[in-house]
Formats: sequence, structure tokens, C-alpha cells
Amino acid sequence: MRLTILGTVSAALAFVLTFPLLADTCDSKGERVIALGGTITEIVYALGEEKRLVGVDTTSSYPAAANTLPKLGYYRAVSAEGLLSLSPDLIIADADAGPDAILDQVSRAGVCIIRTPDGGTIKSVVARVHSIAKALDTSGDTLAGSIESAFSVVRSQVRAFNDRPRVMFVLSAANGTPVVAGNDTEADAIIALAGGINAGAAIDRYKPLTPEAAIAAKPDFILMMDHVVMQSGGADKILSIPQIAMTPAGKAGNLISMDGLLLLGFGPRTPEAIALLASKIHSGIDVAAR
Amino acid sequence: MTLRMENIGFKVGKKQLIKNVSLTVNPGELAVIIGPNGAGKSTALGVLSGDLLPSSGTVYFGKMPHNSLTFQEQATIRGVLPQLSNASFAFTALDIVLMGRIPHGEAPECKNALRIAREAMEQTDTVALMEQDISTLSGGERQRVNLARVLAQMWSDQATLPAPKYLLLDEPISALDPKHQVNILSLLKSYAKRGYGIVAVLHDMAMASMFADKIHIMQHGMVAYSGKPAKVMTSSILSDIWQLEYSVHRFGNSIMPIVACV
Amino acid sequence: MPNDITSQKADHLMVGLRGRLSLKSITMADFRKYRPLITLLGCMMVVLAFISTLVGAYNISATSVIAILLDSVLPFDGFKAYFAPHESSILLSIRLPRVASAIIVGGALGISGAVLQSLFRNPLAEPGLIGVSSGAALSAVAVIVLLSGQVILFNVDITAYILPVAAFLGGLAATVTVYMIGRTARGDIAATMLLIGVALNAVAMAGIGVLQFLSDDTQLRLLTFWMMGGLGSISWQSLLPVSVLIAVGCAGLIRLAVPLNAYLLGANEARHLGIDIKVMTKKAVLFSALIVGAAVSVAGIIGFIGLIVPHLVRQISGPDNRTVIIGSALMGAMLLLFADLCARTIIAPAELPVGLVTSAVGGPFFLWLLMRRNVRVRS
Repeated sequence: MRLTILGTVSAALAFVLTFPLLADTCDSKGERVIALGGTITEIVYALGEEKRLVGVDTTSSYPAAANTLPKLGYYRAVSAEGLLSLSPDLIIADADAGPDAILDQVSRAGVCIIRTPDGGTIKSVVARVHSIAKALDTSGDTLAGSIESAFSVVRSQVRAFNDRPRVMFVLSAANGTPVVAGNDTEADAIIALAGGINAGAAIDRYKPLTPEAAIAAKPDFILMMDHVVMQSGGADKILSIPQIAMTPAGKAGNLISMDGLLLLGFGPRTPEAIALLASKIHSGIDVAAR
Repeated sequence: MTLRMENIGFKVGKKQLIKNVSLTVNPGELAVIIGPNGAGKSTALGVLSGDLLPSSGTVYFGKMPHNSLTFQEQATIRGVLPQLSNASFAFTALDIVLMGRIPHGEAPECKNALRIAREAMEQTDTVALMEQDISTLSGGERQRVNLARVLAQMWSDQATLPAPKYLLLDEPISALDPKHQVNILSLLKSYAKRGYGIVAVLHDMAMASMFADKIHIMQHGMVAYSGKPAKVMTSSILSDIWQLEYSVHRFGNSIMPIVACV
Repeated sequence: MPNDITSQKADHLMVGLRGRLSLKSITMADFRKYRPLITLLGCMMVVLAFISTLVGAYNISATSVIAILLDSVLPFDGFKAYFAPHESSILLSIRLPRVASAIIVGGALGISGAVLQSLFRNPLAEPGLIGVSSGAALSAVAVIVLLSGQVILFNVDITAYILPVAAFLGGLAATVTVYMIGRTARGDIAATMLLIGVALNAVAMAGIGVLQFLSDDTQLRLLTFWMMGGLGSISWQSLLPVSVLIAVGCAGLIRLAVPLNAYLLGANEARHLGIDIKVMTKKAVLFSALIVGAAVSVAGIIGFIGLIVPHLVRQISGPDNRTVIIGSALMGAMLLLFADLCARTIIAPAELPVGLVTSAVGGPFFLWLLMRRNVRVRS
């Protein structure tokens, strides 16, 4: 054993000393592209460049065609050899993709990695579109333009509402303690864009909320992602959690469930998401659809 | 050179388990400690073996306090058989006996260690158990295997020891049948004749008086009586110690104390 | 045998003559008897390591792998024709560090399991079960969350060493706690120890929870990934300090084999056999904490190896620690190599957390082992 270890150590030493780190060149043509992040996949499809995709992560669920591509696992826990096994020449990664150490390894193996900017505004969506278009050596102007015009339509619709309902985004309700979106989250951004007030704005990022604080936040609506509602045992189960049941939202049974990628993705469908959410939280609009 | 403890006291909390005990183990002598439960026999042996740190007094090898020697040096002079010895993993009887050679720096594969282990096992009638898992043995078999380990540790190929060695045995025959009791005590006696100093805690007074060169009777944490069996195994002393009426009978050389009346 | 033994045979050790006998001589002699098993395990490990090097999500042909390995070892360029440069970089900087870390981490977990089981005289002791791993995890997480940026000491960048050392201190604190409380316990020491482990695990998990609450998004991500346990992001650079610490620890532990054998008879019995149990215990605790801490610091918490592997070796060789300790290192390395091989190939190009694989393979296997043992004892 001692010998084995010594051998390994000296081999490691030899490598550290002699093995040159690969140059971080990034003049890729983007012929074989991996998208790490559901929104990125969506944008690649929206740009009409899906033929260049060779693999996506597991959050890439839209459009449905993306599901037929090889899946590389959750975009925050990919594996180096897994990525390389698809022989990509370009990886477009969400700001949250990782682990960083793995992406570093892949980059050192000569694959160009582009990180897209994040952020919860239409400006950031447009910036993303442009950065992806640039990486793919194509123009994002058309797509960006159509997103912006769709957004301006939705914005004027939202402005027409006078009420400001309080919405609480519940990320998960495991163990009966809701984890709530606070300040500086995509959920906070989308609620504001839809003309609502984030009932959890008093906290930072995603935190579990104590029962009393949840009640004191007085949400009119509980907003959740479809798959979380399913995992938590359905809408009725969630509405029966005491700290939710005792809120205005709980009493009225106002639980809104939306597709996670649509709601929080900040991609091409964000204007659509804003319109959908707004239609559900503002009175004076037919909410029977929900 | 002797192994002796001088004016030993041992306390646990406020309870004085033994007080002012002085015992000398002479090479060439089989000494037996007897006494009622709680008299401090095992405590005295524990102090003598270094398991217990006395609250007062010192244990000496000759003129040197025993803890001035390294553990390894002590281990080549003094072997100890505890009351209960349980290995937690599936060692064979031979593995256990071979451990007696550790202080001599002998690996279990060492020919000398194997030879000594085998001879020690012959002496304790455990050769047949050699390959058996120690945890499957009966209490008496385990006792003999562990005794073989201590004998292997204190082994000498010479008929008479050039330098004394000591065996401290806490109830070495408690789980044995009568035949093995007699055999083991005869064996110990022969060891004593070769120059070993042996102390054993026993409960069987007939066995004690048959084999011991000297008997120490302990009571209330002190040595109440010491001397040759014929001197201390009297009906008045025994009746006093055990609060029972004893009559002592003699058959040839052996002394047989019998409870006369309950 | 060395000469001092033959002179010992004459039984001439006089009191006051400080002839210091060396227990080290035993460990050297042992390799003679146990060479077959150790050699066999060693060879199997090398073969498994080689298979691991051949297989991966990225398809590199066996010829290329061998050519790359030879090219990186031998000084001439004749092998370059047999592989593409990118294959070489994938193999040398991604797959090989992973194989190496599986060997080092698996070996460390196996050996520490073997030593802790002997030290506690309890076949259930395992770094994870008695809280050593989570102690190490807690302090490593604390470093990730509370410490940011480079740490420079005497003009040397010691950032890479902070995490393993912190994990070591955490592991040490847990080991010492278990040992101290376990030693004073009356009655069923095994049960007490496991309960202490449960309590320590709970405390550590609570601490980790608090730290998770404090951490920002980036730290949280790093932390979650690290907690799941995995060898994916280990590079030669991060492996170097860890393998140094583990090598030191293993060297120390291997030398404790004979004293630990005697210790299995009981603490007093070991002392009567000439062993300084205080020194031995201290060394065993320190070195195991060191290697578990170092292993945890790079690979996160990987369960079950420390528990199963020593059992497995004992089934083959018997309880002699001279075989069990070295054998457990080799067997642990093999088990983790195998688990990691599964983790990175079963659902390729995605991959499973390796801790999941060790538990999924190890748990049922362990149950089977226990059932079989019960049958044997009864019959």
C-alpha cells in the first residue's frame, strides 16, 4: 500500500510539474454544441440552430424535441468525461452550471465554454439571446426583437391592472416547511413583472419560512412549480399545511401551479409567462383557466 | 530478586478497596491468595500486575519501582492471566497463544514462536483446540488457552531460570473440571520449582492447600493471615474468615477443610 | 528472524538492561507469510485500476490508452502515432486522476475502518457510523462557507491544504469524543458507541444546516456537490496534498498492526504483552482521523467502505491485523474503483453520485454477509 501511494504521489508530482495545461482557446465553430440549462436549449431552438445540439442537461424540457437528445445529468452536477464523450466543440452553460472544477477540466481539454449572463429582467433575456447567438455565429436580432415587442405588449396589459396582489413563491414544501423565494430571485422578478408583490420579499434568496412569518406575509396567492406540486402530494396537501392554510391564499384555495422552466427560465417564453401569471393573480380577468 | 508490593492502598472514590497490603512473590514459590468475595484479592493482583494504579505504596521488581521499566521489559518479566479474557474477533486458539510471543518480537510465523506455542498448548492440554475459533470454545477451554498464552510469554527453555519471571493468575482454574484443575496446578507447581514466582487467586481451599507453598488469606482489604498451608488452614482461622464452621481434615500430605455445619 | 530475537531466546533479559526490542521487525517479517494474499489483492487492484483506465464515457481505444500511458512514462516519442492529443489530455487530466483518487480515497477509508474496528473492539465501528466522517464534513463545510480567497502563510499558498487539514481536525475531534465517552461507558460499549455516533452525526448535520443557511448561492452549490460525495472534480493538484497526508497516515497505521492484535484481547492484556497502549491508541486515533479527514476533504462523504471492507478481508484471512489493515487498504481501493466505474458509466454521459453506488452495492452485500454469519454460528 505504501508503495502504491508513493507511486501515485510521485506520478501526481510528475504530472503537476510536466503536464502542460491546455490552452484556453475559444475559436470554435460551434458544430457540436452542448447546452447546459433549460433556457439555453430553448433559445438555441428559438434561434433555429437545434441541429447543432448534440446534448443537453436534464432541465432542458422545452421544446419537447429536446428530450430526444442525450442527457448529461443535472446542469449543476455534470461529469467531465460525460461531456467530452459527445465530442463537443462548444458548451453553452448557464451561469449556475457546474461544478466549476469539472467545467475547468473540460475547458482545459480544449472545448470552448461560453457562460451566459443571468438576471431576471427582459434586458438580461435579450443579453442571453445575443450571447448565445454570438457563440453560434448567427444573429439574435430577430429573436431579441420579437421577445422585446411581445414584452412591451404584455407590459402595457399588466400596467392596466390597479391591484397589487401579494404572491408567495414556494420552492418546496418538503417536511411541511415551505421554502420561500425572497429578494433577488427569479421568482421575485417574475412576480413584479406580472404586477404582483412578492410576499416573501423580506428575506434574501430562498429560505425556509417560519409558520408565523408565513402567515404574517399574508399572501393572496401561492405560486409553485408543477413538478414540485406533484412531488409534494398535490394542491390539496399543500393548501392543508397549517402556515399556508391560515393565509388569505390558503383560505381561498389560491394555489397557482406553473411549469418551472416557463415561469423562472427568463427565456423566449418569458412574456408569455408574465401574461399567464398576470391573468391568474389579477381580478377582472377570467381566472377560470387556472 | 522478588516482585513485591509495599504498603499498598487502593481507593475507588471514597471506598478503600485494599489498605496497607504488602505482599512479596518469591521466585520458586507458588503463592495462593484466598479470601471471601470483596476481600480485595483481585484488586491486590491488579495492583501487582500494573492494571491498577495504587493510591498509595509502590510495586517493585527487586529494588526498582516496576513502572521504571518499559512495558516491554515488564512483559518479559511478568505475565498476567486475567479472570475473563475475550477476543472480539475470530482468532484461533493458536493465534491467541502466539500473541504471547509479541513482547519477544517474534512474529506468529517465527519457528521458535510456533514451537513454544505448541509446547505451551501441550502443557495445558489445548493442542486439539489449536485451529478452533476462540469464541466457540467453552469457558474452561478458553481459560486453558489463555494460560498457554501467558506460559508462552514467560517461556524459558532452560530447566532453571537464570533470572526470575513472575506469573500472576486471577482464578486460573475456576472454570476447569477437577482433572484439569489438578493438572494445571501441578504444572504451575513445576514452573515454581524451576524458579518462577507464581501468585494465583483461588477459591478452592482444598486445591490451595494441596499445591500452594504459601497461602495469603485476605479479609476486608487486608492480608489477615500468611504462611504455609499447614499453618494458616486451621479450623479456627477459616471459621473466623468465612463465618462458617469449618473442620480441617488431613489425608497424608493434603489438608481438606470441610464445612461442618451450615 | 533478527539476531536480537535469538539472543532473547536465552531469556537473559536482566532488569535494568534496557534492551529495546523492536515491534517493527514483526511487520516486516509478516509480509513473508501474508505475501500471497496481499500480492493477490494488489494484483487484482492493479488490474481493476487498469480496466477503470480503459473504460469511460469517452471512447478511447485500448491501444491508445496503452500508448498514452507509455508515452507519458517513457522518454521517446514513438508512441505518439497511436493516439490523438485530445485523447491524451482526457486520459491524463480527467480519467487518470479519478482512478488515482479512487485508489487513494478507497484505500484510506478501508484502512481507517479496519483500524477503528480493532481500536473499538467492535466490528460495527466505521468512520461514517461513529461520526468521524460527519465531523470532518462539518469543518470542511465551515471552511468552504466561512473562508474565502487564498490563504498565504510564510509566503506559501496553503489554500489547497486548508480543506484537508480542517477536515482532519474535525474528524479528530469526533474520534476523540467517541473514544473518550465510549471508554468511560459501562455496560454495552458497542451500543453506547453507536449512540454517540448518532448524536455526533446529528450535531454535525445541524451545524452543516446552519452553514448552508449562511452560505450564498455559489457556496451552496459547491457544498451540495461536495456533500453528495464524488471523485469527479478531483485534479492532480487537489490530490497531491491529500495523498501526502494519507500516505503518512497509512504508514503510521500499518505499523500498529501487531499492537492492535494484542489490543483485541483487551487493554490490560495488551499492556501485559508489552504494548504502550496510550501511545498506540493516540497514534491510531490521530492517523485514522488524518486519513479520513483528508479523504473526506476531496471526495465528500462516501459511506460503507470502511464498514464492509475489513469484514470482507477478515472473511478471507482471519482477524490478524497485519493482513486485515493492508488488505483493507487494497480492498477499499478496489471497491471504490468499481463503484466509481459504475457511477460514471451506467447512465453515461450523465453520472451517478459515487456514494449512492457504494451504499446501493454495500448495503445489501453487508446484510447478506450478516445473514450468512448468523447461519454459520447457529449450525
